[in-house]
Amino acid sequence: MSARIERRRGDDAGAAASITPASPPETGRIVVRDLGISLGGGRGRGQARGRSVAVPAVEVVRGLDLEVEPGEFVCLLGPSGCGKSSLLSAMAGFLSTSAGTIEVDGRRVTGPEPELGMVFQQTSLLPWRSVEENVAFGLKMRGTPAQARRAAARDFIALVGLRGFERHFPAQLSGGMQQRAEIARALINQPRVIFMDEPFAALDAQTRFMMQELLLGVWARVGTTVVFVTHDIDEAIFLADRIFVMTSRPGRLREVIRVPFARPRPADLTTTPAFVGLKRRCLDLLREETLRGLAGRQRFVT
Amino acid sequence: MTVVPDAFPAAAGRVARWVGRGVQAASAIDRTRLLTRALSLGAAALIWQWASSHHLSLRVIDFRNVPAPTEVAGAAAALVASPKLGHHVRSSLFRVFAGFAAAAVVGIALGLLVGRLKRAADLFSPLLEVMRPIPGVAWIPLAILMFPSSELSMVFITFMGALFPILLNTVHGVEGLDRRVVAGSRALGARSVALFREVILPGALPSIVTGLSIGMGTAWFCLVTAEMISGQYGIGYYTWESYNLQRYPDIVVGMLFIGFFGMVSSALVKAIGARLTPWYRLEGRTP
Repeated sequence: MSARIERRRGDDAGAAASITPASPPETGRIVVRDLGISLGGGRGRGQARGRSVAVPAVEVVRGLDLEVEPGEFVCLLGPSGCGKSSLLSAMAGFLSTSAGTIEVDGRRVTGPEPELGMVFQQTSLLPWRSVEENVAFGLKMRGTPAQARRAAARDFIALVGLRGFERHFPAQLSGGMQQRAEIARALINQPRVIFMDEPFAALDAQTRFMMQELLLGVWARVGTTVVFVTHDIDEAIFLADRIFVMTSRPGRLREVIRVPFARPRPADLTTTPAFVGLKRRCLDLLREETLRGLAGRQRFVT
Repeated sequence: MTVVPDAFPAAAGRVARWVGRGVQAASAIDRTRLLTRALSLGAAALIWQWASSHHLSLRVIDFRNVPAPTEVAGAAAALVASPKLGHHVRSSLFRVFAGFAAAAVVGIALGLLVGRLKRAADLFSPLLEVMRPIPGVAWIPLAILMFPSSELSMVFITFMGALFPILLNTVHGVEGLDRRVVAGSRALGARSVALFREVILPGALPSIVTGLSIGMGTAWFCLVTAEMISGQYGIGYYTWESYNLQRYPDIVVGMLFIGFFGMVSSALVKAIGARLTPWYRLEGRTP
């Protein structure tokens, strides 16, 4: 697998951004066919006077097809409640589907696994483990000897710019630093794909932008496929090779937008006319879908 | 005499220092607050001295037969000097820690399973729900019948007293685990035993520590009662025997010893708990 970082001491994330992207790896192709996802069906979810009642399942995704190329950075963008997070969870194996197939490199996704990395919006680091132990956790579960996994953990901690915090507990880190540790923890397993569910949404604007740059720098070095959910248009355009805009619920792909900007992308990209034009197009699509969603809901209410 | 290996004192010293740091961290109090607390104790002793030396009688409560603190102090000094004390204390401590340790092992193991696995919950919950409302002391008559050795019956009663606080808090801790942390760990490859060891047990640990410190209290409570009824040695037995022999100051001495050892063992549990969950304080919480 080509998703291994070179061991280079003294590199930090800022420097990593200037390194030329790795050659396209052969792993990390996602193929989704005719996908359907329903949530919350069955008895017992709703309670009426202590009696369980049948609750209709909510169909969040219907008839969705998509393909992600190996090593590609893809953003899922859509109105709130469109099922983008559900789609991501299903692709990462966290959520069972009601129809269709999800394949990564030709293998059906049936459940979560280390080869499908996941980064949530809120940290899921083990609070009782140090940063280093958290990052090394996947290797420990795989039975890697302590010495080797410590060395690997230190490399990945350096990669995300957390050197000096190896012995800290997650509670001693800021939100942005916790997310760095999350990224390192997912990457150490050399995953085929990293799925990220609005990982920077809880961060302040300045930190969020730093994290976006850091993520691009890291991605340029490891070359893993990234599928990134966001509702922030700027974020999607700044990060992605392609943006998958979803329809309102039940979600499917509305449009696939290729982002033409060369990498590494400069910080002032967001003010260029080309960027603004692309942003307007995304905004129009999102507004249209949001209105359609509202209209659908109103019909449902009356 | 038993032969103690040379390594023992060194190891014990290390353990004591380790626990000591936990005590320090758990009870960092400034001087004014310490003074206030000392004053409160002193005032209570003064009122007590006054009430018993004046044979205060208020119809509903009567201090005529209550020994004064000075008499109690004398009796305490006499007991400390006598060889009986060691025997009583050793008996009680052995019973408490045997019952408590068994309850900790059973309660934590069962609690982890019941909290995590549906099948285990279905298997054990009905039995536990039936037994839970029965207080430990209610087991005394049956325990005497069940165990030929009165020593074992007292350990059993202590065990029953400590079991449910530990068990229920463990279950509570497992059920309160952050689902994202569990899901994330599973995705990173933590399964079955590794999942329990790496995620579920440490995640439930703060709640388990709470259960252990409550369990230590109930263990002492049950033990003292059991000793009053079926004991031959022990601090509870000493207290009850003093009543029967009309050595009234000794009753209070027994009570104070019970309080003292109860307090020390709870502090010990708390200190060990604080040492085992260093991350918990960082999150701004105390177990």
